[in-house]
Amino acid sequence: MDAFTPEGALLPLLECRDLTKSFGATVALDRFTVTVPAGRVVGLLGPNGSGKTTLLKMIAGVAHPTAGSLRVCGYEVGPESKALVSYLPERPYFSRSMRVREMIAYFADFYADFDAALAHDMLARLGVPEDAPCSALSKGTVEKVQLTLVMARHAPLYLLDEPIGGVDPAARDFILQTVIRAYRPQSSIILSTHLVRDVEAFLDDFILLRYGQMLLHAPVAYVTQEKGTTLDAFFREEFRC
Amino acid sequence: MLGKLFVHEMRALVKPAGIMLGVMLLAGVIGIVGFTTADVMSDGFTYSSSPLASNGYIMLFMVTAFCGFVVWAGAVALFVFIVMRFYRTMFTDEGYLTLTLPVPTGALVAAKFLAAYLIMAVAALLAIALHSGMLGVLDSGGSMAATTMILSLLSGTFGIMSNSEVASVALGTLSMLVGIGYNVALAFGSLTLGAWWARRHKVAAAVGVYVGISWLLSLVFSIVSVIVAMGGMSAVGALGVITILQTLLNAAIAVGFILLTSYLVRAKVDLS
Repeated sequence: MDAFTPEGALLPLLECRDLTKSFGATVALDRFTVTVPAGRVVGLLGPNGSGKTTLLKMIAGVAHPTAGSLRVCGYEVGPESKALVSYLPERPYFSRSMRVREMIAYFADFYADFDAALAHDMLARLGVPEDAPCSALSKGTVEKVQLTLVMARHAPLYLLDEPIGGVDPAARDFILQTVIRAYRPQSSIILSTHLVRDVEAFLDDFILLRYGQMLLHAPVAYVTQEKGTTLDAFFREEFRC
Repeated sequence: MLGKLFVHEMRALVKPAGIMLGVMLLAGVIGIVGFTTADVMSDGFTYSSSPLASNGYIMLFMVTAFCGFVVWAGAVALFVFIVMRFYRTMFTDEGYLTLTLPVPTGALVAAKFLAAYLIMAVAALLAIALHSGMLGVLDSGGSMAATTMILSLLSGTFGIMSNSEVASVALGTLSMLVGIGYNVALAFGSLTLGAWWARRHKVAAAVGVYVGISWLLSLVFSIVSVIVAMGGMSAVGALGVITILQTLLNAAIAVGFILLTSYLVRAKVDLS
């Protein structure tokens, strides 16, 4: 199935046209075309090595397309688009010597849409001491702090790369609740995962990727109503080994 | 935006740089005191009249000479720290934070370069001052000559020997300051080339690029120096011209590598 645009969509937040990324002879993403309007929670689904992370990296501006075009709110990837994208990579990116309050100050300094009060509030509810250096926090806590900072931005587009991968079920709930609470109708969230069951209830649309190619981009309702199954079951069927 | 990035960079560097400059200062002061003590001691005895005092004198001299080594080693260690921090914040996991900031890549690279340059310039000037102090004690009266010698060594030539000593020192200082910019820019550029070009062992690749480019540029400049020296000028004049040429070449290379780094980060380097 080709890309679809939901009815009533405004100016797309994200437009990819024939986006391709190759690493030597390996094609990580092959002529990927998609349009994401405001107000959608999109699941980027696929097994490991399907190109999910590569796509998010290119949108965030930390990897460069081999071919094709990519626009965020009409801007090519650059300072303007980066100001509109709130990106959570799958790995911790803070220096181990950095303290939590320094991380907040850093975000507040560079992102005009960062809500420092919201970040303080979320971290207080988490019980994270703001004077603690990153090295003193557990891996899970660092991930939560990072998610908190990313979601405390009022950005039009959120990119969350495997936010629930490798965390315990309680942390998964926290992460998903944080994402949902921060969601605003004028924003869109693109969330990559292969843990479909955990996110299925929150998604509006999904994109299925395999070997860098888009198999399907559709609303979740397409699966539940037309196929009469859950997205998780559909995913398992599609990617059965 | 450049100012904001520069402030953040300085904030991150000031503590480790302060510690290293403190170590250099301490070593330098110990060196000056040690050399002064050794100088005073050497007047009061001979080896045959007091072997114990003579051995003590030799040990004191060696310890203080080691302090002189620590001063320079501190500057080199600081350089390595700053360069590795550049790599860590740009091309490892921390790059995901740095490279997603809504700032032009040129400003990002320029801020890192300026902060590194400023700190390395302070470190180099401190090292020169401390060494001049130590050599001044040994020279008993000629600290200006010692400074000139150190500046000559720093500038990479022995060509600062014009008629005016003040002009020599000024040219030496300028050459040294440009040389620092050259080395920082070349290191940043090499790391970026390594991050772009190598699939694995990126730092090793960057070291290879740095050494290779340095060697190539030295070779080219040696050829230029020989051509200038054969041009019929006096030795002093030729050496002065060579120093000026090298300073200009280093400045051009520094600017070139900063632009190259900025371009590669903006358009080519992918984070793994």
